[in-house]
Amino acid sequence: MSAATVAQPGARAGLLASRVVRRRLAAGAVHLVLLGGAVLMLLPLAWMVSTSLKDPGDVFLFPPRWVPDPVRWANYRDIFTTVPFGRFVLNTVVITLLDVVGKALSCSLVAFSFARLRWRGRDVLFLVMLATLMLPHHVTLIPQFVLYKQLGLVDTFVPLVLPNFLGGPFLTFLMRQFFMGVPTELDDAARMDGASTFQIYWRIMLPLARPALAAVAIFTFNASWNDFLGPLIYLHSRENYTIALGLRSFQQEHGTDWNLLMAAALVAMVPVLAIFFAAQKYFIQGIVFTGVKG
Amino acid sequence: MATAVRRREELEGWLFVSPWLIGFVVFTLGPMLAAAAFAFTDWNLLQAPQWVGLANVRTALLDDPLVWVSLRVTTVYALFSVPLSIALGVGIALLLNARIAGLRFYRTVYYLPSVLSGVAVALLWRWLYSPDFGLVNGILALVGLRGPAWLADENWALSALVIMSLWHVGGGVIVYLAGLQGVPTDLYEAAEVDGAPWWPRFVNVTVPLLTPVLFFQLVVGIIAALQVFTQALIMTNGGPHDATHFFMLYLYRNAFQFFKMGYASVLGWILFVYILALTLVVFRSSALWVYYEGERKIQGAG
Amino acid sequence: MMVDRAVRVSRRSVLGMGLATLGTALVAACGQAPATGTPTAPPAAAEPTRPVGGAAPSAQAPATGAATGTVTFMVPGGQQEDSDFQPVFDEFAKRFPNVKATYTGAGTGYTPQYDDKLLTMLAGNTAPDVFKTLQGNFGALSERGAYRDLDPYVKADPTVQVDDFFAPHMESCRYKGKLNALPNDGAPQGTWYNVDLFKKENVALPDWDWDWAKLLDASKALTKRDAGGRATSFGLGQPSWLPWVWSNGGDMLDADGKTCLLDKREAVEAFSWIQDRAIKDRVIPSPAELTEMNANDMFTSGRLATSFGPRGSLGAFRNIKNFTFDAAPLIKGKKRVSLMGVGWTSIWSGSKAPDAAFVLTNWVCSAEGQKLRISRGFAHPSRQSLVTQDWYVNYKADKSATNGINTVFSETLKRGEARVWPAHPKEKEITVAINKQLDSLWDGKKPAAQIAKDIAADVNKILQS
Repeated sequence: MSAATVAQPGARAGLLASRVVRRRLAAGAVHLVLLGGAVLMLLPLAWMVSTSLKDPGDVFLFPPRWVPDPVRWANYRDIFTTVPFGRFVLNTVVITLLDVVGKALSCSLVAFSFARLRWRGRDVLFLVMLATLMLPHHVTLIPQFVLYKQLGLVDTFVPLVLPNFLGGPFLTFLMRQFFMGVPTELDDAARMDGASTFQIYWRIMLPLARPALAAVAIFTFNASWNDFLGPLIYLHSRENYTIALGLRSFQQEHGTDWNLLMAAALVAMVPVLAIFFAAQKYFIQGIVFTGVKG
Repeated sequence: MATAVRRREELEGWLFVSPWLIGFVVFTLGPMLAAAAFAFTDWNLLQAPQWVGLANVRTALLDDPLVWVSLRVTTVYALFSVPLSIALGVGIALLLNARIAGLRFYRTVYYLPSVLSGVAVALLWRWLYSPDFGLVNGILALVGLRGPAWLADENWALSALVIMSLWHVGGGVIVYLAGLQGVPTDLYEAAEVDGAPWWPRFVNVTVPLLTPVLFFQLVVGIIAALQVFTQALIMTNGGPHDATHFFMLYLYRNAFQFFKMGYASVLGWILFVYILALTLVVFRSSALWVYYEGERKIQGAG
Repeated sequence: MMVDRAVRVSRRSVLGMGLATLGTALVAACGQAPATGTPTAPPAAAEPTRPVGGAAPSAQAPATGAATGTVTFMVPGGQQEDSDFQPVFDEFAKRFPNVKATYTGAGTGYTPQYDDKLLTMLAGNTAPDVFKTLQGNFGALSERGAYRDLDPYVKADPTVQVDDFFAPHMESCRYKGKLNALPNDGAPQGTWYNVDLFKKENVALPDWDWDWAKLLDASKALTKRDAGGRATSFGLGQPSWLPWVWSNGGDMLDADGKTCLLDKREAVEAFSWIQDRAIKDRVIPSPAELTEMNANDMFTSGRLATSFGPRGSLGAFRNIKNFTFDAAPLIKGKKRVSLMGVGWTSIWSGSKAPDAAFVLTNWVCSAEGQKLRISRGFAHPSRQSLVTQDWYVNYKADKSATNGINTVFSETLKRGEARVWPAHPKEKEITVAINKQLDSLWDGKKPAAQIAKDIAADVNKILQS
């Protein structure tokens, strides 16, 4: 603030007041836009909820009706009766938790190497890693299946969990971008204090990358929870099935039981949202670099 | 002394990258090379592959109009959905990073569509796109426009799918949010001047520090958009009149419905080359516009 | 930049990668299914001591053989199907304690992913011992040796009671002379109709004598539009094109399966008839109108007066609350040839326990096995003895007018007026090509004659490649 504006107390108060008003207006505008967008995001969901509470014969009515009549809460019970959803949930939880841990550890480790260490062939291998995302998975599906079959791992969780402990191009790329955005002063200081490379990774980079790790956790949780292709190909016994396979139970020979399908999809969605909601605290107020510039 | 340090860093580099490298060599490289080998065969999945040399390649490049039709559909889709997703994603992320009440609620709401997938979403959007009763045309009617038949109209079906992809923008928003968390607030404070508009601060501070994740979203967005097909399979079956006949849909059909896995492998490699070329272009351009805080020590990284 | 940098990968790592590749490729090649399309040796030679039936096999119950083993059984699965099969497998465990059978729903429901999963398992040489094949793959899997020939088993075991199967079902299980499956259900299409809508417009209810002319009049009378031109009810559901072509005397392929006959006059007439109803008379819902719900769902909502489908449509229609419905035979053209589906139940050619697998297959397709399953649901038995039984004839949904919802299908079969989609190794490729051209039928982009010509050209190209 220039000396001229500081001089008059009345003028300063006026300035302060207008700043507050401007802040309030800005906040209000943001709320308005966000609310509008939120309605657009939620409207389809509202239709899902509406469908999930309808009688089977009421799902397709003309003209379309938003409020079901009668409201059939029993749908939420029916989805659990014939299909052993409890078991599916257990399997999915085990796989997903293992996946999240594996991805967080392996992706950050590999990304650290790509971002911070210098070694020959690094950039080529980085491109090679990305290139594995570019070949459509359908053409490698069966050779990979045969590979796991020769190892005797079909109908186990291993083909679904193991790749998550071996890095994953998408999330490794994300973490690498993050690490490259971290200033190197802290590394240098730690090196001069005699820290090993692993200590720099574990004690300095990882904590700084909490928002990125949270993103990794959220993405992995979502992907594993909803993964259909992996369980489809590799799980052959019902006791091993996951939720994604269970959701298909409502697509029957005569057609789809939409009311039950919607109810099941909504129920399956809750844990992922809960994790997301909980992980929010790593996204709020990321005052990450205070003190670095000082 | 310096060479010892360098040699150790070299070793550590390989050590830290080994989880991915081992997985790649054992579980990915072999199948990829097998896929390359199958491209030169006629393989119906049930019987031994028959060597056909370059016949599949020749057919794909010279004798199959569907290859080019589907590549065009896929390219147009990516051309619109990637930039739109990024723009919308960044915009929403900025709003969701503001200091207002109810952030957790808003963020969850915007992320929610990304959690849903599959058949439920397909039905939802078929309902939304219903020409007579759907919400989309309903909203257009509010402003006096008569909406098209969307999924049933060959000129609008692809746009319908692009718009649908924007509903899932929440996934990208997370990445930008994480990126925005990395923007030091002291830089914000330094740039804030009373009475000054927010635009210069945004351009000079936020954007450069966001470029690493923007780069990520662009590359990953291209790779993903060019491989989209599930919704087309469920909702339009590639129609009407091939308007939504994505390249991956054609590939999937050849692999699992037409018993032409050899031909599908060729298609896969064609798409691979296409995506790789685009990605390399983006990588080369990145030196011009991507800024890494920690770039001082690392040279020439993309 | 990155790519410019010289790549100096050490010789050792190249060698290592090369070995890994070779190893994986070898492993993949070894994993190939041994089936090569030549018929497998009949099991009689391998199991000379298998007794044929028990001491005095009853007329109905499948005999307990000496076959033992563990077999897996796969169908798409789903809420209804899992509960339908439960009693079948419970009873099997009691009757045939020597065979341990596991029922597995594939976890895919009736979606294309079932085929994906089945094909992956076959390609990887770990297929289930007994499995169901969905429409589209029977010809392809038969041609490529995925099935075990069942003739030797059937000839040696009178409890199979082959003559009890409907003729169209048994024919559809044969491919190039070999019996590759047993049918465990299957129904022809009929005409489902909304009785209330018919009565409201004073239109006579459809019956065995109806032909296309009558159908045309009725559908016009039953299509109503509001002031804005939007349809409040449609008279005609989308007919399936193949039975329409058949009913006009045409066919899809010639007897050898080498030439497409869809550009011949009879087929063109059938296509024209359908297109005129869609474009000229607008009694069929257009693709735009079918965006949010398909024809069956529109029927359930009460807006479609007629819909064509098999008895299985009851799965959706039994939930109808707001109007009365019934079923009539598929409306005939010059004659009546209805399209039917079949539940192909086959033994994998690579099964390690084929004899035990046959015991299971026989049971699932036996009269008792079918009754246990279908009495809970609404599939259609593949056996003649079952369609006269009480539980089948007298099944009634809440809002069904008569038990025509059961009898028209069996009667169609008895009259020999039903046919299965011709099995062909390239069936799906052909169907996809035809359906793509049919887009123009429903939206009127091309006239029917042109569409028929284009279809024939596309299909002939596929047949010759």
